Amino acid sequence: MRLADHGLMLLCVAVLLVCGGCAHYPDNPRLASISANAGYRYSVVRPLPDGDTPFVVLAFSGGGTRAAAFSFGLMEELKNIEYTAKGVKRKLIDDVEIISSVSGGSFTSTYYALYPESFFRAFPEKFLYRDIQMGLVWQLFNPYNWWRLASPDFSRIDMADEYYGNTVFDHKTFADLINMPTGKSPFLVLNATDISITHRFEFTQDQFDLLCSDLSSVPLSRAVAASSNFPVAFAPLTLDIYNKQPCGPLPMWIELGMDREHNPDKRRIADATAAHSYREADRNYVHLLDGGLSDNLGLRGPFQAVSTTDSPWSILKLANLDKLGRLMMIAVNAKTTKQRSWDQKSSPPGIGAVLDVALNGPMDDVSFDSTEMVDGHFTQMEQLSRTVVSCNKRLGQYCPAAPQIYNPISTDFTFSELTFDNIPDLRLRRCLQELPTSFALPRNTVDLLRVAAGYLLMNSSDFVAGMKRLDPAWQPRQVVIDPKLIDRVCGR
Amino acid sequence: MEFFVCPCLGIGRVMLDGNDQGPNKDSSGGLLTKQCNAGLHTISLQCAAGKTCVPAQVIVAIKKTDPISPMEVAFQCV
Repeated sequence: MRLADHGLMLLCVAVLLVCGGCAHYPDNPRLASISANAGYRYSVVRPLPDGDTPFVVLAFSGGGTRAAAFSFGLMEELKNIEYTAKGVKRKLIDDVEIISSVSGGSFTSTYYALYPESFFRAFPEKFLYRDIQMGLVWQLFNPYNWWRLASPDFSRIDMADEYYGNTVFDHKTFADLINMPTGKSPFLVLNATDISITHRFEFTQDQFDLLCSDLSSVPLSRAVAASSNFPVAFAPLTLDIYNKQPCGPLPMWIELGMDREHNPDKRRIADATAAHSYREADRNYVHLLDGGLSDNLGLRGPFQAVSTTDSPWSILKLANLDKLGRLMMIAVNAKTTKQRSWDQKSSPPGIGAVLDVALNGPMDDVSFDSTEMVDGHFTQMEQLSRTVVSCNKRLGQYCPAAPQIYNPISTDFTFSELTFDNIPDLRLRRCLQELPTSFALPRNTVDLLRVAAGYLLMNSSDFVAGMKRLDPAWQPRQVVIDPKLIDRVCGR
Repeated sequence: MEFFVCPCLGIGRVMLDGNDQGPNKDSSGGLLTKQCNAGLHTISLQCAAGKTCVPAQVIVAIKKTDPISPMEVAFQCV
């Protein structure tokens, strides 16, 4: 080869390396001024509820395609549920106000929020039956990506974001959700984890206000990528903070919530401190990993919303406005429970097994606490309400001249959790509990997860009781899981 | 969960940390108890019909209340 050819080749390599070095993640734009009436906020995309129809909140957990298919199954079942209240027939799916999701569950929630009309027809082929995992791996074999990945400002998660945008979400942005007719689509809360402060980070304009950034033009695929940004497989996803040019004051509760002397609730102090941190001078960027690291059920946001007026989409505020007659919360928990035989031998489990426990053990523990917190809160609210009712009863008996005490808790609460743990058939339960976490599952497995979600909902005593209080004539549908399907997935 | 009321001769809208929580009284003049999380809050009352509410705002730590004995944060519409 001639010297000139060598030179040309070296030049080409140098150009490619330089170009690769220029690759950059898509910047989230700056927000000049905060406006409470603009951006992707609950109050912007949802009308004020009337208080008569149920206020349904769904939480979809992480767990790859397993979680996506399981939450899709819930949506299919909700679509079939009809009830009659005050003489009017309605579908329960039309009462879904908010979906909060994490990781794998975020693919289902986002696709539904974006395409509520075609969701049931299109989503299975678009995502559930697709080998997303292999698609991601193929991206690594594309030489164009090699050069881009050489850049410190472009990583595997930015590549995944592009792939999800190309294959699943059609490059739609939050502006597409804002521009839908008001109330057409539920309010979507995609949860990731801010790893610098180990705190939940949600893709809402209220959260982006803290960054002085405009969420509208951020692709939905980017939010889903952050929410499902599994550690090690991907690098943290970066967002820009524009706190050097002020865009408006922080919400009032943040300053108040940081007062350690007058706030007995440590969670409030932690939330306020986390929110305040985005305006601190030394924070220029946010680094996000999978939402499961801070809340693998997607329940923390809804819990904050029902138990505080601090949440930007406070559900408690709706109770104060007398617009929350009935609250139904359904958590889809696709957690697995592996059967382990380590304790039969003296030798300790290997490094892979230990890593699995180190990564998933704390997540499962936090998820357990989250469901207990919501369930406990609803129980406490019901107890408080009963106390007022009992007190008024006594007043009526022993002091009839005294005025009755106003009962501020007029909401009917229902909380149901769909989990494989509640499958009565031992073989099926173990089979579902042992499913892998990946973005590729066989078609039969996806089908089994879909029908299992319907089965669990229709057999949830909490859900059935809640529906009966709503419509005493309502009867749960009998869902039968095809034994042949179980055989095909779980073996004989 | 914590509970508070905003007694006032007039009717107004209760603002908690800058957010509307609805009227302080029902149509028959009965006080409406509001719910909030425990801790430090800013409460104001937006009086109706162009009246001014005093004090303009109150910063108060709401804790250890219940629906039978809500905290009273009193205002006057002048």
